[in-house]
Amino acid sequence: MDTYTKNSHHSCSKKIIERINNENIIPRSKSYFLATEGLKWIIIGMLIVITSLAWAVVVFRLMNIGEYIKNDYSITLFFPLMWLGVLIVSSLCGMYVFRYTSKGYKPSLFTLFVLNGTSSLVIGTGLSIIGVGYIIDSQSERVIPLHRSFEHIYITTLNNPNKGNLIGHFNSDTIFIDHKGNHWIAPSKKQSVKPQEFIIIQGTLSTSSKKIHSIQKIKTFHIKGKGVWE
Amino acid sequence: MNTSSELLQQTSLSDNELVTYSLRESHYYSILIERYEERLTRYIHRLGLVTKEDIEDILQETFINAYKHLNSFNTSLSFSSWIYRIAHNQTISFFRKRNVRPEGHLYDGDDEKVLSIPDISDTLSEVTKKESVHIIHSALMRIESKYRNVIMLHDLEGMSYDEISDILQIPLGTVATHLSRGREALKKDLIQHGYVH
Repeated sequence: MDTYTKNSHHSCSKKIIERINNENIIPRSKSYFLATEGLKWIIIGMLIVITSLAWAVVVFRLMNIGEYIKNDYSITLFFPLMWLGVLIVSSLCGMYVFRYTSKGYKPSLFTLFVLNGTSSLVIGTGLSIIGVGYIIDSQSERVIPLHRSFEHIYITTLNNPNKGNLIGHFNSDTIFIDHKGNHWIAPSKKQSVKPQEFIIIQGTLSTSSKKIHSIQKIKTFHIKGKGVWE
Repeated sequence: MNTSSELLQQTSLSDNELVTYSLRESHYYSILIERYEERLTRYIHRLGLVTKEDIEDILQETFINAYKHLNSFNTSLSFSSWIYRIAHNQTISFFRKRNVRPEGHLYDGDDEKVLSIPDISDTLSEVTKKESVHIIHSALMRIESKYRNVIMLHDLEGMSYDEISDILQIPLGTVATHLSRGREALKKDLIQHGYVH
């Protein structure tokens, strides 16, 4: 059996104190530890915010996906994957941050995953309701390669005058502007119009998520073309 | 130079008081080092086979690291658990660097402690005391390190569940589970090797 004799070691305190003095070792300041601890929390907070934003876009897309574009899977694929990815990264970061606690207790990855996921679902849904989901989705097209925003997909899918669909908005009771800037006259329902002279549009699209949501409430208007089909 | 009464007064200070004073003057830190040097030497040695020089290196790094991080030490907690945790991590890191699996070893005076591991030595009635120590120690080295660490800290170092939880950074419930499973594993190992029928 291998043993170590009690008397075989000698005090090393002198050596350590000498090394501390010779190498001018000083305890790191309290502010250093506060800053590093704060930084960890900021990183965790940022990851939760990113996770929430990804979820806000998922909610926005799910709320607005219409029957016309249900078959376009790319519309729902990217942000759920991003949400999951960021959730995993933030949970792993959480494990690092929480590895030292007062009682040496280390929360499990599953606990952090559930807590983080739940908070991102709640915050993300709230953000989507106030329109952040739409903003992130439309802006992300500029920075994420190959990513198409919901608005882009919606417009390219539904703006087809030959099939009687136009995408745009009304700037008055009777003037409708499509997404290309063409003006259309939309007479009131009481006016008598010949069917072949008019194009039917379904709903409206504007720049707020509420407006996009309203597109699901399909309304039929009769519009006289003042643009490309005139 | 300190007078003997000053030294006596300083050595009667609590660990946490010494930590506070060490932040102002490194001299106080030597009292903390002397207080834990022997215990940590034993602990490092129990964790794995290391030479006297290696132990001194690990000890030096442990105390230097602790000194650098003194301001991060929460004085409402036990300094003992904190310094043990640093020593534990330092030793594991030492073995990792050398790509060697830590296999625990006994220290002088461990014989009685090994024999006092509950429900273990009683089962070895047909062998001598010295043989029992050797058999139990060998079994201890064969079981999983997570169980061995808890048994060592509890039965050899005399640590409480709270302290073990702080040192190994595992919840209290896990400490109890590892201790119980570790003792079970010890028994199974003794049966497997034909020491207990």
